[in-house]
Amino acid sequence: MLFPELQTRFFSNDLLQNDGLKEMQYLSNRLNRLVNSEYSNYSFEHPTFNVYSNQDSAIITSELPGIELDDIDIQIVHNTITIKTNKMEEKLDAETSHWLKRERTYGQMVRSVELPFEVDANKTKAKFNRGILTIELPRKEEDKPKKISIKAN
Amino acid sequence: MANNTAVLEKNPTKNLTNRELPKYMPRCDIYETKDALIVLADMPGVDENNIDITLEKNILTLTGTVCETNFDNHSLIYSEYKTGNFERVFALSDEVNKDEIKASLKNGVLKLTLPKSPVAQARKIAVKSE
Repeated sequence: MLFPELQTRFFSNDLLQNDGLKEMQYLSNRLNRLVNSEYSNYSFEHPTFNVYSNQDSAIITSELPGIELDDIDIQIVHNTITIKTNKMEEKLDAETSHWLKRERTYGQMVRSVELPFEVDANKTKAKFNRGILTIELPRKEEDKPKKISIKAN
Repeated sequence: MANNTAVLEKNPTKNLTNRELPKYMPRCDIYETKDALIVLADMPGVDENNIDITLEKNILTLTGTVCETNFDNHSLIYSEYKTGNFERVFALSDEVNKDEIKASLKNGVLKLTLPKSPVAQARKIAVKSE
């Protein structure tokens, strides 16, 4: 599960109580927070994300420097968002040029993220500015919590 | 890619203004062509107005200030990368023609062209017969 924090915020605690694994993941993240900074999480998967949220939507941002707009592919199926990117390697003329230092990475990256709500794919907006991808994912209207009014007899 | 090495602080960036954000070292690629050295530096979030390139004696300093990312009514709940400003320092040799350094920025990548000076380009030494 990718967003234990998000899950626990959206769902009440008793939904998670019976799932030991989820608890473990949640605890490990809480420990990480204590040791590092408040929100830091380490990801072995790339691209890495920052997630912002409120009751009605989530915003995912990702740093993708050097990637062309055409090489970013975003797909949404129900509550899962998949981001595919391809960073092209700078091509050098082998006869006249050579590398002196290489620190930047390139190549294909694919990552899927499961959100704790159904995403309205038609209202999803994505921007790519200064090498930062920002995706705004609104929660589906029918998925939002409904307030039920109680009438007294 | 986003895991830039923190050089100064490790603190979270919350409640800090742009100037107070931690500094990260941008990842750089450098290659040499026939007549120039090219530096590519990953600086996501920096636009051309917020980039500062200074050359003092032989020390080239690249500084990039990120534009703030704040979303109304949204709070950061999960973070895998930290944002901050970028700074990196290079020492140049005399072989670089300092008057003709060019820089461009595209998709968060700074491309710096450091042309070689004519002295460095022509290294052929004529041998005279006595």
